[in-house]
Amino acid sequence: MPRRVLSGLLWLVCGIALLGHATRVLAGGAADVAEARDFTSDRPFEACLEEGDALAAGSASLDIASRGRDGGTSKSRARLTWSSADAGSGPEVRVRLEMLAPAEIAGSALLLVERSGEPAEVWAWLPEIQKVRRVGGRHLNQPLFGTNLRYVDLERMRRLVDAAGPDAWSEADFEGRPVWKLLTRDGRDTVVTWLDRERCVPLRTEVSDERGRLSRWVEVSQQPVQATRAEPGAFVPSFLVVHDVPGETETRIDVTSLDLSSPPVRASFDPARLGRPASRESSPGS
Amino acid sequence: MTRLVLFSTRYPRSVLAGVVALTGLAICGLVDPWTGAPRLRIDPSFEKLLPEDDAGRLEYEALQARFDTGESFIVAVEPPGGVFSLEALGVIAQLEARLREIPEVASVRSIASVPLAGGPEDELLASSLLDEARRGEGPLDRARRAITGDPLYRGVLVSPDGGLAALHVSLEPIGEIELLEADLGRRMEAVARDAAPGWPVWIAGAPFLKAEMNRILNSELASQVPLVLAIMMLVSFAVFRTATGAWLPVATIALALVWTLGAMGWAGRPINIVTSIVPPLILVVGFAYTIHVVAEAQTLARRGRAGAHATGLAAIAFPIALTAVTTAAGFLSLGISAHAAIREFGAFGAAGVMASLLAALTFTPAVLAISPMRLPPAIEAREGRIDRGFEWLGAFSLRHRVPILAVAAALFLGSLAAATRIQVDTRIVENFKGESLVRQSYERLNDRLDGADVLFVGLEGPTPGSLLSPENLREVAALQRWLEARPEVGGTTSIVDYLEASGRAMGGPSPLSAASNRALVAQLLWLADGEAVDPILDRSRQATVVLVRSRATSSREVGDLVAGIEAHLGRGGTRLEGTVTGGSALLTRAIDDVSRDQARSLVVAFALIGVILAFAFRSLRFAALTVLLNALPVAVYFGALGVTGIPLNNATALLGCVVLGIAIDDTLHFVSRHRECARRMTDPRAAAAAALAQVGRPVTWTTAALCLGLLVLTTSDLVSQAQFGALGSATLFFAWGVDVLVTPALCSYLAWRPASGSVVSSVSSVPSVSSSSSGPDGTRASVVPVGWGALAFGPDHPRRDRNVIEQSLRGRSQ
Repeated sequence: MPRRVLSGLLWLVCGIALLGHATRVLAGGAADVAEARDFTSDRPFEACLEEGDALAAGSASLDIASRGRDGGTSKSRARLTWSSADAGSGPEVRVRLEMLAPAEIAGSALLLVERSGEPAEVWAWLPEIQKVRRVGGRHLNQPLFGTNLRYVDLERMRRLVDAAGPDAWSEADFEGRPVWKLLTRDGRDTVVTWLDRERCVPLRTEVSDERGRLSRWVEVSQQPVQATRAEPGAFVPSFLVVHDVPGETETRIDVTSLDLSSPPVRASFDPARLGRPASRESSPGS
Repeated sequence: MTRLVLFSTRYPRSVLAGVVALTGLAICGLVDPWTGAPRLRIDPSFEKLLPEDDAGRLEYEALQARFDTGESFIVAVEPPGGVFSLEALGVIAQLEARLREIPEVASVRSIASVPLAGGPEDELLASSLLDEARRGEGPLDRARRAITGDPLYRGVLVSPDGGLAALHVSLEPIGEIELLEADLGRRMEAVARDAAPGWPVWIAGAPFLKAEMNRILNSELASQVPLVLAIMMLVSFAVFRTATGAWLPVATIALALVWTLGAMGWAGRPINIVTSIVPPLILVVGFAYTIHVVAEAQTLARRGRAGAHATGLAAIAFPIALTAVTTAAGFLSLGISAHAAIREFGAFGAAGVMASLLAALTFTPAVLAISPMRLPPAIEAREGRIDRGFEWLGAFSLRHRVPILAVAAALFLGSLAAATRIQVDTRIVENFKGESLVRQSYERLNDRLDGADVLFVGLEGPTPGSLLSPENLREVAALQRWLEARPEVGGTTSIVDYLEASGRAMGGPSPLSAASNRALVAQLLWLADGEAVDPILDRSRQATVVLVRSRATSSREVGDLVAGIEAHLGRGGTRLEGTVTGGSALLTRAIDDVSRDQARSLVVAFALIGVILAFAFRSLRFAALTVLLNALPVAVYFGALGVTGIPLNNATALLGCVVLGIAIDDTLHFVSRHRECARRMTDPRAAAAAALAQVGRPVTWTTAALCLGLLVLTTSDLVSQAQFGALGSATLFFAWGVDVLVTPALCSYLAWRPASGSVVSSVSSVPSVSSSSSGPDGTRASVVPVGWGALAFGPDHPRRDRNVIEQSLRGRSQ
């Protein structure tokens, strides 16, 4: 379960496609806990897991708008391509982020590879320099790509979910929807996540400091994005917003399109080919 | 006022009940009686001294809103063998982790953990200095060279020689009061000493500076005020030689102090660095008022007029009230200031003076009515010696009045000339004593690093995305080179430094090179460390801020640096518009403005006092004389600042007001008494001698008490407070000299219009030498002018008065 959680949360940072995956792993965790706590649910967790599998690979187009503490905003467009597979020792997740706009950064790309039990590996490609460089793990502590997204936030979530015992989970309502509420503590921070039981999607995550002040929160749209080929029952929200309260910044990611029909070819996730556009296998339906 | 005293002496218990009620109310203003939480707080921040609409303050606030230029602490350590060893880096990393555990701390940056730019072959950002140290000597040595060659770290996180490491500690959002109460600086020091035992530890940063200032002000307020009160009690006992005479004046001013501070608490106004002078001011002014009342009571007791107690005390209400009103008017004149802190000082200063007056005219007479003053038998002989001293002094002054006045005039003019050399300069760090941690830390960090203070140069391009242009970045780099050539600037940091580091790490061209373009800059920024870039570059890439690390510590140096940068930015020919700001720039300008404002307000105070005196005595000459005589010590004080090079700062500027408040009181007593005597004696010289004999002793005792009280401040841990005490006592001593030498000499030339048979109230009295002219029981003046050179003495007139007057007249005829 832990590595699957990692995968889901990793996707969360990179874009909206993570949500399905995150749901799957969170629901997986919740299923274990539900079994232990004898939760009553009108929808078996296994269903969530099966639906999440439909999101194991695909691509999405994202609009990213980031507002700084000065109120100024920067906007960009990107394409997210992902693939997850069992690598024997555990799942291996590869995510590729390719910038489309604005023109100055178009073609810049980032590749992230996570293998079970190993630190994440990240490679970057800048068209003006024409070189692929590996980005050290320490760089991932910082906000990325002109946004307030941090990879370490996801690592932390993974760690917290891994460590959460049955007492951390409870049944609750969130804006009228039945949810599983996950309450965890990380050092001085308290992290609360509300997971939609029906759609298997995290609806909101809040991080508060020891004084109970909200320091960071992620809100997720309850409107689904339309996939080019919709999977039965799969729900991918149309946007998510990450708020950083002390930094007074906000990053919103809108999913403008979602394609689950044709998995990307494995070569697209080769660091050496990061400078080339990602390619996909031909769609079965095309 | 007379009725107030009469009421207090006739209904003392009711008045004391009222005093208790008022004091209880005031205490509730100081401390919440239900929660015990203090209502009156100390706010040592300097920025708030500036008007809310001040352009510089608005600029700074706009910069803070746009960029993350929040205040931070610097915790520095000096490992015995230098920073670049596995052991030292391990300790620094451990210290970093422990500092991060402090709840108020948001983040910590240290040399041990910051990412190293460039790694083996294909790595962009590989590891930390500590990681490299763990890999062995070779990697550590390479990392050391990289660190000490990187302008982002050298002189910022580590000294160029590798001997000192600085940890930059950013705080969670926290209110100013909570920040002060958290005592973070001392807690960080304790953590550092524990994590790195035996290593020298230094703490710096604006929050630490404020917290230390707050701690010292709090602790000294708690220790010095009681000490000053004790000294005043001793002096009172020396004067009156009775228990009541010892405690009553002190209790009276203590009440006035509580009332005034309670009013500040109820008004919700904290004690700031300007209003912090109000408590000693109340002690100083209030003591003089109550001493006059107690002295009058003792005089009445000496004459066995216990029955005339009420009317006797009531007779001095008017002159005391007049001195209080003039002093309060002086403070209220500060209301014209544009600075809220100065206006508050004026308002609470005036409130304190009036509270002192109220206490002196209600509490003191009421207590005296219940427990009348006793006269120790030994006092007569001692007072006789003192009075003979004043007789001699009066005769000396009159005998040498021409040279004395000539010297005074020369001193006045010379002082005015010297005062033009005064330099407005505030040294915040040097305000702490040399052995203090704050000062030693700043001096050490200024010596070993690029500077402990940071100024911000805001730069803005014409359109969003302007700062993606290599041409504009080259302008930023040129500005940095110009700044770094200035001796007081230790180093600078800008977005250019980050871009160059990223460019080097990626193995691409420099973003400043001819090969650079907007795309390269944008891509490097896309990949850049957001936590480092966000505080200095806005999201629209139109505005940026250059951090200027400065070693300037005085307001003059900072002001010169700011002016120099502004001139450079305003020279034209640039695409980026620039402004200079920063906490220290604002702070020093605020203090300098306040200092100048206070000095300017003195002129208004003089004018206002003159008008009040002219109106009260219906005599322009009286008003002019009083103002002129008070101008001399004030002018000499400011002249001394010009000659000695002691700068005009918030403390030394405030002293002008205090000197004026005290000097006007004593002079008013003398001149008023002289007028009263002259109207009866006809001969102004004899009147001057008589006036000195009558007011010399109380003026001397109050001055002695005040000088001793002010000298207590010389023990302060803040240099400005110590200067205030030393200069204050010296100036008050000089003002006393003016009152006993110059004032009689000048007054001896003034013939006042004789009183048309009316009884003139006494201004003041001393034990044994009283205003017998204003007999409380209705008797008429005992000294009656009957013609030039001849006086008639009443049967109850003290013999000493006769001696003085006769001696003066003999001196004149000779």
